Amino acid sequence: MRRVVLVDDHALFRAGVRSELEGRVEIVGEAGTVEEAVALITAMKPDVVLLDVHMAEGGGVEVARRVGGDSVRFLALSVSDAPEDVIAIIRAGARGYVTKTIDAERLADAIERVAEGDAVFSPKLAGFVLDAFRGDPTPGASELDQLTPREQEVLRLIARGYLYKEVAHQLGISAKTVEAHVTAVLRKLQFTNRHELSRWAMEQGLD
Amino acid sequence: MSAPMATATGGIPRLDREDKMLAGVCAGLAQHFHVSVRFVRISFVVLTIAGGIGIALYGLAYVAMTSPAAEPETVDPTAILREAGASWREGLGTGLLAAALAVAAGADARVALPIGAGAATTVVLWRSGLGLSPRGRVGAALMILGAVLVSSALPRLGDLQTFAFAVIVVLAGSMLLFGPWWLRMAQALTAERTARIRAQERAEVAAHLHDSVLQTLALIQRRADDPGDVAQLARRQERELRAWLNADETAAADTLHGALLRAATEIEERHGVEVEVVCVGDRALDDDTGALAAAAREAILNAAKFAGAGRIDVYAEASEERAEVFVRDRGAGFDPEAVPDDRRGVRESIVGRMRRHGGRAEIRSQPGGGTEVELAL
Repeated sequence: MRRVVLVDDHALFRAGVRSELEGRVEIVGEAGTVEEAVALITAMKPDVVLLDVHMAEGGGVEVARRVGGDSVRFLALSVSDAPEDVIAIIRAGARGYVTKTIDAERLADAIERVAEGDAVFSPKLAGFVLDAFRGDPTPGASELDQLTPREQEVLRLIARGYLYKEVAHQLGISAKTVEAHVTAVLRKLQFTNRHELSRWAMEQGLD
Repeated sequence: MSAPMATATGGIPRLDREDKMLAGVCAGLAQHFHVSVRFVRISFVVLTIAGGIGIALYGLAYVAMTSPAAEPETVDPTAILREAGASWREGLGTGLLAAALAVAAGADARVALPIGAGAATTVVLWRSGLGLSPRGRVGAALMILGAVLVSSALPRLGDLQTFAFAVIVVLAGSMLLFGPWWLRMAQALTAERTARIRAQERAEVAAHLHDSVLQTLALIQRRADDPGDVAQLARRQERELRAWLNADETAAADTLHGALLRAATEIEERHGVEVEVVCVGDRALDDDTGALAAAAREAILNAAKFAGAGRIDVYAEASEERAEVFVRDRGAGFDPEAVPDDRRGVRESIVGRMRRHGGRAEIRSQPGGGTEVELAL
């Protein structure tokens, strides 16, 4: 079973997630503040950290920044689906983003996916990305600033509610290839200079 | 003084950095009081030539227009008035003392008067706290210079015995005595107004939460034994609160995205399913996009009624050239070849409607495999 650390400042919500995930993953620790979270994650080295975006003292973004997205895999869990929140946490190193209304089965699936190093895109997030990458990139833009036609197809199917294996079936490619495309898109989200995304990231930084 | 006094609560004019000669004071005043900037500049020049009061006035205006508003905590008009009275007594005393010392040291009125006036102005300005910021010091220096100039011109003007003499003395005196305190008062009032607006906003938030969230929570407690009802109540409240927090006007907009969101909310409430709308791009509602939205609504309704799935995904992509909507569920599915008669009408309102508007509709479904309706213009 995957070892998971739960970071959220609402004890009630942590209790709810814990009981939902009972038997699906192993919750090895809970933290309610940025300080606690950083210490706990460093000590426990979990497979996946479920990370709340909105907490005092910088929230999930601060936790991800201080621990570093390379050593631990983060899955952001938030009540907000505002684009600036999504982009900020992805840029801080989270490999996926789901909203708190997600059901237990999908959440367990998302945890498994992130643990294996894949990216997790909800239909909403796929829609944001397509929206943000619409239109021609500015002249002199790098390949990070645009999506390939294949990546667009994959995202469009995810936005339509297709699961990864259904996307693969529809496009006649393997599930591994779908994952590779989504991971590539995640990288672009983290490093692109596209105007809307930089603006969202900045707005969050100024808070 | 009456004009600035009257508008003190209506905000303090700001410097105009665009159209400036020196610091933008004249242009800022002209803009604030809706008069010609040339008129303001000529007035300042004339007042400066006529004994130096223009300089003092410019200094006061400069501080007034650059100093930040006071913190709300410091607001207390009575305390400001008390301080002002004390500063006038001290200023007058210091001025008389300085002038008397100058006379005692052998100076004549031509020198003693400016010294007294300068000393008095300095004390009043000091007490009013105007010289605390760098810009405040510049303004205060200009005002003291103005006071010295006016008072040194007094003996000369006194010979003329003109009407202008009296006007200038009264103007200069009242400006230097009241100006700094008028400024403090205006700042205090602005700060107080800001605090009041904040309090009002807080009250509005409280009222909104009371009418929406607290009501829903009460309803949820009463229906705690019906999970379906509770989930639906919570979801509707979440949607509503989210729209309010983000001041989201998309759902009210006359666009394809807006129409889809409205249909989703309505069907969610009526059938207790979750409808997730994702929209990339958008387009205004016209005859064709209106038909597209209506067909999409029909498809969502179908899924809600017959599929038995808990969740329906709606994805729309729209630009000026084309518009597509996909409605997908993971429910029961059906064999499109064997559509029962009572559902032909519904299919007509999707497929037929799209065709009439130059678009197309495709329904992909298989028993047990869910359904996807694709609509395109």
